[in-house]
Amino acid sequence: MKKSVFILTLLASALTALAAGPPETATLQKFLGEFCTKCHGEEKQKGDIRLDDLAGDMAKEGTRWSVVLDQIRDGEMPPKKEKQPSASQKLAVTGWIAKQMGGHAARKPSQGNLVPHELLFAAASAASAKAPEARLWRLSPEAYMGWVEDVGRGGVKGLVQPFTANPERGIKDFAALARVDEPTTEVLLRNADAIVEKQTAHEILDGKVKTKNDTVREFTDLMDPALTPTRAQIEKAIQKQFQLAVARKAEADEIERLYALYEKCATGGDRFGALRTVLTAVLLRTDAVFRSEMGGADGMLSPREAAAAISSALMFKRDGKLLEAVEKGEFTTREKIAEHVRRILDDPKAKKPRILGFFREYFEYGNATEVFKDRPKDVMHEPKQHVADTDRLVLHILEQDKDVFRQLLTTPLAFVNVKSQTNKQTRQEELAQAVTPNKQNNKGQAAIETLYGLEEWTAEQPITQKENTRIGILMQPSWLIAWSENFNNDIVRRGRFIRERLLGGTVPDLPIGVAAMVPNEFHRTLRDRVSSVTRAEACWKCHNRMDDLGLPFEQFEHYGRLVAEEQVLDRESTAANVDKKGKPLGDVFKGVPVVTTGAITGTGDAKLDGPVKSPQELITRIAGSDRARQVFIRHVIRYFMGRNESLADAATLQAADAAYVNSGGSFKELLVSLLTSDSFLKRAPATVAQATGTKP
Amino acid sequence: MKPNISRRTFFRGATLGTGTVLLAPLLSQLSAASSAPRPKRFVFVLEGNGFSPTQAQPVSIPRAKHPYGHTNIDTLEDVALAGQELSEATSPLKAFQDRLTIVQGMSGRICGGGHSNNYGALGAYSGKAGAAGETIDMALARALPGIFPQIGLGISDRAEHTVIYNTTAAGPDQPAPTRCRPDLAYEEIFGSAAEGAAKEKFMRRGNLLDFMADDVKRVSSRMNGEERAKLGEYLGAFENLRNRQSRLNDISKTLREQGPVVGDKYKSEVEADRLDAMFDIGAASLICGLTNVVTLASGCGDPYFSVRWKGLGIPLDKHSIGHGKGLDEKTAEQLTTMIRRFHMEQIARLATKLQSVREGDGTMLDNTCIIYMSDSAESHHSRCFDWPMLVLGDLGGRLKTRGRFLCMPKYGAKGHKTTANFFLTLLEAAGVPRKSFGVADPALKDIDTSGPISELLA
Repeated sequence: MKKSVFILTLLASALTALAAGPPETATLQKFLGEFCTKCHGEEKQKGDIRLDDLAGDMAKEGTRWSVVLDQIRDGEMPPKKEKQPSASQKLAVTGWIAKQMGGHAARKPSQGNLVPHELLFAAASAASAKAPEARLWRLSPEAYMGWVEDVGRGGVKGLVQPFTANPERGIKDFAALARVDEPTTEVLLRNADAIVEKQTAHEILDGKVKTKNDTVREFTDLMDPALTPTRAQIEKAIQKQFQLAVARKAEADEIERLYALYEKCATGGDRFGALRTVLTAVLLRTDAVFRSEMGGADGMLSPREAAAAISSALMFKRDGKLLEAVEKGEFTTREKIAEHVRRILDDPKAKKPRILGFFREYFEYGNATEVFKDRPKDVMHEPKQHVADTDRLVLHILEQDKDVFRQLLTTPLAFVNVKSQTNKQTRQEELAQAVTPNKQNNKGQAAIETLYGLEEWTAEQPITQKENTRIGILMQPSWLIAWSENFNNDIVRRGRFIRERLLGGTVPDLPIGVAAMVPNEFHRTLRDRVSSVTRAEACWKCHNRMDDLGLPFEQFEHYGRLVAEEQVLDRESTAANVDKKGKPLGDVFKGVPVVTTGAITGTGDAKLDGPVKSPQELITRIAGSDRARQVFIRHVIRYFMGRNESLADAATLQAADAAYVNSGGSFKELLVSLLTSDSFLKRAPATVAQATGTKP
Repeated sequence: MKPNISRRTFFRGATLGTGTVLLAPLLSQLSAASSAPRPKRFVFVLEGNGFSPTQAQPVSIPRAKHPYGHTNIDTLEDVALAGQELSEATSPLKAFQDRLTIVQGMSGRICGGGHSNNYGALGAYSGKAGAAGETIDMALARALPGIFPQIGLGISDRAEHTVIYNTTAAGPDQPAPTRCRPDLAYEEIFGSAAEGAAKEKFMRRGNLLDFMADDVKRVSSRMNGEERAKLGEYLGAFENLRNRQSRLNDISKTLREQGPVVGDKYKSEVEADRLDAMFDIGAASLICGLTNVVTLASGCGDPYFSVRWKGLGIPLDKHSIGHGKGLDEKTAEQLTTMIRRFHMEQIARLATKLQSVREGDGTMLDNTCIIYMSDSAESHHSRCFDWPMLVLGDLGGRLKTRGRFLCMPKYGAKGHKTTANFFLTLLEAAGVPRKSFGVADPALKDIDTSGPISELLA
């Protein structure tokens, strides 16, 4: 009795602190008391977990709350043998936690699925839309290089990448994770020096300034030793650098302070040095390094912020027409913004590397080049080309722009060993064979098109692959290699990919202290060897979410070849393989037919769950499910917003899904919907400290 | 009366901003040990294109045969270096033979080999992975902070390179620079003591950092919460850099007196001159207390290694020499020996300089450890079965490196050690032991490759 009073008091105070309404308080109290604290309370703490003292401060207790959320959402707790909460009870509690956690939890891209899927797509959630908080987003490594090209008028020698990409797998560029620390700042400084050096490069010949290519005239004009620049000339140079660096005019107070810097630096007499310092200072401004999404009084991004946001969502360089529209005051309505998004998406000349970038980060087939493998004796191993071929397939599907998600997963089409080249006679772009065996070095290694069953390379591309061979991205050699290990397939992580990226599920991190080792018993198949360890009770709790989804891909070996048999060690033949003196002559292998069965489980969707016979069946079933499509859309939103979705984005997600479905699966329509949504364009008014000074 | 103050106390005062009061004494006047712990310093000298076990091996100590020249013994060989005859390549270190240890037989297979193992050489991870993690010089720098955490100096095969990124990283994707132009390195490090244009440039950099700190502060004051923290980090960076600048300014007198004297070699096109100048800067940086870790990288990293040692009369590029090409009457081996000797002479010169500065009851050299190795392990096309290293100085007695020759058991044999074990030894000696460093070699899973090399620890 005493204990429950204690719990209730604590919970009540926690909930009051969070200003949750009384019905939620009651629901939560009842739920925890009924299903949790019996085993995780003051007296008993199973698994060293105690929940009766859980306070409501999400900033401090976010981790514990997220454990509660995970366990309930994934049906891990209460244990199967105990009394179970109803679906609506579960949804109410997970909804409350997810809502309270807001931005405190799930900062990493890999934690995006923590918000229960059902909640995001529940009609009721759409009504609780709330504008996300104002934020700064540091340039991505690629956007920085794009910026350098804008500012430095082409590439700049001696420059290094100052920014670190998020080293985790999956989506890389998240606003909350992108920082600028001291070593980064040192590189930024050095780079800014190099850029200004290039902008102002000149020689003095016969007393006259001789400039080099790609210099900025407003700057080099002032390098004339006979000239003492006027304030107006210095101001003009500052304005020019503002346009180049932050694409806007400098305001009076900004000019004032920079001019003061110029004067301070020029006291020693070196005016050129002083000017260079001022130009460098502009390149290091916060608004050159961080893109701001502060929003105005109306809660919308300012036209300039919106233009930069659209530009950065799709490209690494600024789109001139967007900036023009801002200057002309034409970038104020959602319709106008949508018009520009469509213009960029439809313009084949506008480079939009961020779009392909999404698919690379979502599927991660690009990682094929990172997995070190010995070169096989019988076939060429060219991961870079496989990646290029998959890129081409993705772009092909995007060009058709119909039923994009399903096509990505199930298309029978493939580009095989293709590159574009210009026909010297007709000057037309045409397809050619990209990688051919080197006549001198090749020791009988077959060309990579043999991976697709082609005896001869063909210019008729894309090819249509035979039934029951390969379909979609997940059966492309690039994906299979990217999700493999040095010597084997990676059954577990392939399964994890499908659980997380296609089914929207979660898998806890590997517990500390677990040394996961697949036994080196090479006489058994990989399927057997992996299963022999992961099916142990303690391991299977998590592996049941992965293994059965990864196993069907045993249809392919780790170089991406379709195989009917797996080679395992023939122990008897090996033992017998000795010379006359009994000295072993080496291992002997034998083929064992591959087993490609697996299962989809625990999705909560009866149409999805069930056993599968092959990877094709697995993928085809997933491709047809609403849930998988919605999970795909969740990932699209994460990538383009640079953050995880929360319940406040439910309306945006549901609208994006509807736009996609109603347009027959158009990725363009999905993007238009997303890039003109409240989640993208609105910001909660920032409660900022009062200060005068420059606008960010 | 001369003030009785140790170099360490002197600089500690200086770095706390009260230095101006204490600036009167010159380093040469410093004397007497204080109760402060003895300082620890590390210098890494890396030379491109490999350091062959044959050139590392003292002439008087026989080396077991192996078809590819790999170390081929099953148990540790531990021989006193006293009385042994050093190889021709390493003989310029003869004067320091009693402080020298030659370590053979360590492997670094995880680095992958090739023309250079790049960051992997000091990071004990794949050399093809870019700056994939912290390197040992930066790990030590973290433990032994100075005005500059670490100073990277060196040369590239091209004179026009100002700064390259090749050997050192503070963490994943955080490469640290190797400054390749002595004149610019001098301006950056000793600019506060300079005169004329260089001094002016130094002052302008200070003004810029002031301005930037102020500029970022203005914006960050308008932010709250997480966004303010983001800008806080950017602001902190400028403030730290500005602080470093003012600390350099505070000790400008010392820098002027003890800093290097800029001469023609600082702007020379000749690589030997530039490296010579870089060794000067490195030595002066240590003597002036600017840092405790210096990395000197001579033609390291792919594609910076193919230096032409014109200053030594060798107009042939190192890549060709690596492929066995000779010049005139000289074989590739003889050319390599000439180039290596030049590096050994530089190390001897550096050691002599450190030995001339009193520190506590000894000299600066007593508290320093200089490591010489190649980023390309044992050969031009390294395979990293062997990674010979020279260790000069015992770090105030923390290392057992006074006149020894050590050869580890061969690759895969019980007791075999990797470069990661060697780096762990340095970390242990520096007082910051770790359990592991870099990436373990999976092919050595059957033997114990954990922890430092106990034979090297005092």
